[in-house]
Amino acid sequence: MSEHTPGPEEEAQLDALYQRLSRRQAEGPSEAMRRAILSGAREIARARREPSWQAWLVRLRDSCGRPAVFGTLAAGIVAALLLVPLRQLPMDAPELALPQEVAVDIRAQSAPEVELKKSQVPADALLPVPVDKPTEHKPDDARVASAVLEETVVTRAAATTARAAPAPAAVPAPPPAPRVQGADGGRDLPGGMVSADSATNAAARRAAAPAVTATTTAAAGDPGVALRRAAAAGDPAQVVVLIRAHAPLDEPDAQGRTALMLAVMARDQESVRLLLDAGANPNTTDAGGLRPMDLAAGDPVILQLLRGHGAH
Amino acid sequence: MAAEPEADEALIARYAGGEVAAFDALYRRHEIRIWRYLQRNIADRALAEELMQEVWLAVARDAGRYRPTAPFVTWLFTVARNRLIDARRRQRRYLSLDALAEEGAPMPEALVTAPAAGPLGVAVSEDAARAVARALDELPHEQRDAFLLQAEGELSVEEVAAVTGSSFETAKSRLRYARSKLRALLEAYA
Repeated sequence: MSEHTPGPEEEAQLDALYQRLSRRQAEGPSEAMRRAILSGAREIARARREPSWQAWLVRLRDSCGRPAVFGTLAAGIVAALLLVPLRQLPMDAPELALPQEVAVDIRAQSAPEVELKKSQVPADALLPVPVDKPTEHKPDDARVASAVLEETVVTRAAATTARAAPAPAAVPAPPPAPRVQGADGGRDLPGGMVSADSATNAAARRAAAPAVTATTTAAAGDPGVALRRAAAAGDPAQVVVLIRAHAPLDEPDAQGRTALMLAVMARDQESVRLLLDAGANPNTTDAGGLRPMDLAAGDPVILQLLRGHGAH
Repeated sequence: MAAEPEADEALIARYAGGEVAAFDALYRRHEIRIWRYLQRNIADRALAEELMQEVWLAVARDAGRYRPTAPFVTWLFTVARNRLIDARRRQRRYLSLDALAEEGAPMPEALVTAPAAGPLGVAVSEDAARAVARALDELPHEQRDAFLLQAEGELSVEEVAAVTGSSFETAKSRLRYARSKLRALLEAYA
């Protein structure tokens, strides 16, 4: 097929040909549909004029009408009824005390922030602290994130390679890279560590996929890029790992779109919730002037999530 | 001298303030562009109408939240494109032009050129429409998306870039490649 790039005149000719061949009757949707749309818009405008408490009741009624929302609410109420009495029990009640080995594990943390807590807080007060609190930086999290990043780079690059170059054995393997490098030419991943096993395995896998370009590897190794890719792909499992690895939440791509915007565009409610809970800014604007609220238009669940986190 | 038509952004702001007539004006102004964009992407007329309704009611519902930081038309087509993506996921009925392009498969009325008089004219029209459908189906998704936003939605390159979340240069390049391939594929009909 010709890869000739058309000039303006040829573009105009092609457009004319396309219009001639595909020109449809100059009619829109059916009149019934047109009436339904305009009448719906009138209803919405009327509802908007209603007093706010009435509108709130209507929204509540509509929300409760949805089985999923109703089920979630009901489950929440039941859970609250069960848990509230338990929380009111004294903390030293034997049936609520954490197992001794968990307590030992928490106190044995050598990270500086844990040391700080140990010096400031009574030892028994550490017991209720969730072991897996996502906002705390933990070396294990970073190691897992780095390994996942490596996995992502290699898996996706290998897939690309498999499509683009079906005979990889003919190409010499590049030397293995000991660390994941950022797109800015040398910045290490947050946490800056890759376990020896994952680095070795990743290097071995890279050797098996020799057509991986430096650009691809560098871009995918950047936590900001990886977070945006995971958000755009609607992959909340990756998103949560990258959030824990302190990937920059509001770093925009070349079009000014953040991970939150991409998650909104992917209609991935779970990733949107995770990013918002982690503190992503819901009021950024992309290069085209669109905000997350604009991108979420028509999706009541995501709009509600955004509004609940201060989007306007 | 005729008065300047009121800007889209002013109309949507008036509608958000409760003036229903402003929405009617907006709808009539952009109805055909949105309809053609949806119809060309979704071969099923009933589904296209359903999406058309979803898009405009989403615009009506969210009118109060629209801020003119982006042109209204960019926002409108972003909503339409998001709805298309949702529909593809939901029903997997995204313009299966392979089926349409099969010989003998009936072409949706709206995708066929206004037929010339007589059976031969109808056959030629259907053949041409099928060729266009086939050619579009051969384009990579991004190129096809950019091309339809421009050819059916009448968006500028800047607007295509904004709606697809790509850079100006990327959008321009996609459009060039799309036209180049279409030109080669439709050469027999030139």
